[in-house]
Amino acid sequence: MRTTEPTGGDLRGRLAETELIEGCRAGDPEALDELVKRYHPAVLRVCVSLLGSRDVEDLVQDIFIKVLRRFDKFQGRSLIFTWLYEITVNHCRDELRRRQRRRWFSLQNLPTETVEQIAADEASASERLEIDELHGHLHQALNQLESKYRELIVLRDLEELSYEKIAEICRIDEKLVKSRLYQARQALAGKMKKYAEAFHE
Amino acid sequence: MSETQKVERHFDDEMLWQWHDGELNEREMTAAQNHLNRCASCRQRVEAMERLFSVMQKRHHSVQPTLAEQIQLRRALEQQFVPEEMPSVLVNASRRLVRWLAPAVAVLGILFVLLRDEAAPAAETLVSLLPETPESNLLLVTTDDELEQAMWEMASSRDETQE
Repeated sequence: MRTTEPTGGDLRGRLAETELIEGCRAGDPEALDELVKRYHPAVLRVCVSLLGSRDVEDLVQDIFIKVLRRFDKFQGRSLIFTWLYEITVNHCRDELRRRQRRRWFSLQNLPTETVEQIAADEASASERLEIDELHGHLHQALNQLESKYRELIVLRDLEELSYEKIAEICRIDEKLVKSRLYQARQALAGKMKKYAEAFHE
Repeated sequence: MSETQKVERHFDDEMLWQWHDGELNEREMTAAQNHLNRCASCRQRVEAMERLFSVMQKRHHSVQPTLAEQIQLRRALEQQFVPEEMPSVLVNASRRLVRWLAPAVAVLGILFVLLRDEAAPAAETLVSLLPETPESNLLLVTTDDELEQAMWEMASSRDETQE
């Protein structure tokens, strides 16, 4: 499993990108088609893995609208995909914070039986996504990680971006990417050990 | 010499991960590759990690937008450009115009009503200033009978002047 850079790194991709940027600024239908075709899957994937639920379509739409509105400010210093990942990660961070706040408020006001019911509902909702048991455990383990760790696992191990790109997206030093990624993987492996043993029995 | 011994020692997890990520420098990469070729236990550790993530990756990449989601997103993006067709400067200007035009029209309406009430007596005053001639009486009539009367007076006075 080697590092595979997503398309857009080569010169041809870059030239096509300028056309895409110009087109999206002007609202050209072809450019909008291309933007959706090229980046919708990646943005959706990252949102689903970061938030741990498939119900993210509104969020994805908000991200793309944000991208469109900010195209004027897009300098072209980075590639569209790096920039898009950055907006996506930030948007998911905000959303997680919002959800935590909302959960905290709703827990304050509910009787305990209902809280347990909610927890059970959530578990079954997230399990709907799983194909088999191991997937479920991995999914749960990833969800239990701190979001700064989860971001790195998603960007590196699932999206297969380079340390350099991740540093750019998360706006942290490359060395910090390296050390934090290590911690994230250790934490995930620690959580998975329990599941892995149960799985092999 | 000491370096080869270090390489011969097992790689720590952090180094293995960086090898796995392809983020070691060229010299380290070769050293790691050489070590892995010889060391079954490190190879097993790498393979175990790769298995774990390949399962996660498969699930991650199985998430794809549905056609309906794609169409919906595409439509939402297009809608972002609909209000842009009318320059926002104009939109704002017309909004501002409406905002002060409505009270202005109301004030003008009130003024019109007030002035019309006052205009009626003003006209009467003007007429009353005229010398009282049979012609001026025509302006003061309000009923048909008075009109007929005034016309008769006017006609008879003209006859008098002709004679």
